[in-house]
Amino acid sequence: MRLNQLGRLCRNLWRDEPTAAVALSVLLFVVLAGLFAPWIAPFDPAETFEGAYMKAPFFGADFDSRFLLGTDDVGRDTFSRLLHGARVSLLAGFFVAALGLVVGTVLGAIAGWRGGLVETLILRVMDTMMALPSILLAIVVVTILGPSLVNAVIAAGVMAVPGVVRLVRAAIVDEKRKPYVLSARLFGASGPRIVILDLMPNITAPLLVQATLAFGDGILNVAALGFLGLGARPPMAEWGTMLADAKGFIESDPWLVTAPGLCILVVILSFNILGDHLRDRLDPKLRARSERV
Amino acid sequence: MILRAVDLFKSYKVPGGRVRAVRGISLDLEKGKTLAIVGESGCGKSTLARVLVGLEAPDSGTLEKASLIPMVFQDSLGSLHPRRTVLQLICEPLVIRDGLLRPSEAHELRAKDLARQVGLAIESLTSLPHELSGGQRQRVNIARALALDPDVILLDEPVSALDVSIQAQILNLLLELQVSRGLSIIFISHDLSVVRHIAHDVLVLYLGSVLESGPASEVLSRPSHPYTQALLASDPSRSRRPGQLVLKDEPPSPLEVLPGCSFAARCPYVEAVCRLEKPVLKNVGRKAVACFPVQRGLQVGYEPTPNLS
Repeated sequence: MRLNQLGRLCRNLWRDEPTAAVALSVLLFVVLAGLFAPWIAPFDPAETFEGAYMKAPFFGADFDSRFLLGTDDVGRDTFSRLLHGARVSLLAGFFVAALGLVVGTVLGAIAGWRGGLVETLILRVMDTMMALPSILLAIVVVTILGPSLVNAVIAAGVMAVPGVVRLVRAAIVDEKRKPYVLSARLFGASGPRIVILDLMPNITAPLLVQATLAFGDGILNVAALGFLGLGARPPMAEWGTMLADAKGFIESDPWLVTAPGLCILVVILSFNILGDHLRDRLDPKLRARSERV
Repeated sequence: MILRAVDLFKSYKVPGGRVRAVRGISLDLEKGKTLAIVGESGCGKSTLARVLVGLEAPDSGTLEKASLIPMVFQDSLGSLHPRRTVLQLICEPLVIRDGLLRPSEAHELRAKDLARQVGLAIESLTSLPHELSGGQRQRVNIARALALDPDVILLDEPVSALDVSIQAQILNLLLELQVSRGLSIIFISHDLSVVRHIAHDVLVLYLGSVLESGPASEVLSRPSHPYTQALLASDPSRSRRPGQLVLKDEPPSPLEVLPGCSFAARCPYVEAVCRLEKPVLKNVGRKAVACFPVQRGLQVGYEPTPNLS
């Protein structure tokens, strides 16, 4: 029964929104790959094979049948490293989105509910953060905290905060003058109670969209910091770090940068397509517009 | 005395000055009585309501009330959380009072009893607000207002958005509840026929101050103040008599503070003193009227030749 419903849902999605269906499948595939990386991957991501340096992938002349996607300059299996990298990237993306969402929601709710000086203060700080190039801001954060994967995640999370703050604040300002909020206040409900129990359920839809986009941005930013040497430390398998390690060989062995680059591209594209799709689906105003066109 | 307000003032800062929405209003409400507050839009009715229930603090003046005053709004849909069922909505005041997250069984029993008292069918308890009619929604709002057994409830234009046939049902419900519970009601409305149906006492508001107050029968059938006369004459349900006043133009801006009577600019009986000094409420018969000519004994209204100077 349950499975039937799920099947129908998938068929409908495939029929109505094939791009979203593809994006969702890609992400599911990557999640499974990351989840089961230790069991699927043929080798340990840090294991080096002496004498098997810079082996080409399956289509190259220098192909070694042990290494499906070839090896890097110190003889590590690219396929295994990509699988483990998926794990790191997805976890990083998840924590970035979670951090941005939690901090952003709290700040946005305080700004929207309290108003006045507190609101102005929070919004101006967010404006300042949005005015700076985000990667520059992340570099500042990592420089303060020191380079590591955890700090890169924190930095990317900080960058995700302003978008969420604006979203939540706008929604709360809209709602708080409605009579149902006034009557809850009359019955003695506290501000936090009204915000959490009455207002938050009304803005879960836009928050979900924002979370999906923040997830994708998070992966990208963590990879970018890894590429700059400010994120994951070698020998950890992380897509951005893999890119950085391989960039010296971009002329001689281009597949070394292509493999992690493609992974980043496909995953982030999928997240953005899914986010756009959710936005269209959950925003009744947009849906009406697209139906009219 | 269940509610007493003395000399309330409330103003708001807006671009271009301060709106003096409530300018020295005093009122008394007795147990089991209904006090209606009437006036044109912009006269300060809603601000007064917000001050009385405690959504806003007055700038000055004193307010004595026995308990919390729940409020029923004109927007019956907007005053109910869109994702809660009727049962949850009626339980909400109890849940908040007890500091819980969800209704207890006792709350639900009490809510069902309240729903019965306001005439809601058992089947509608699981409905969401948008599935109900306007009249049913206002019954839910009244049930919520009664949940904490208040002495006073305030209704701000509760039936203005309803069909006339439904209006009568809701007004009769309020009258029944008043008798069975000894409830005091503050009823804000611009609709004089509704007020005539439900009110014991009437307060006529103009630009934030009271121009006339007294028993509903007196104020509505033998109005003394020129403004009350004009307001009644503008009621389309009454046939117009020759010589009656007609309100023209808009009231002056609430941003300006003129020294004299606030109605002076539109009043056909205006005298020199009206523009210089603000009249205070004085007893004239069984009413209190703030008007110099009336306090001096002038009968305004039905006389054929008002002083038009």
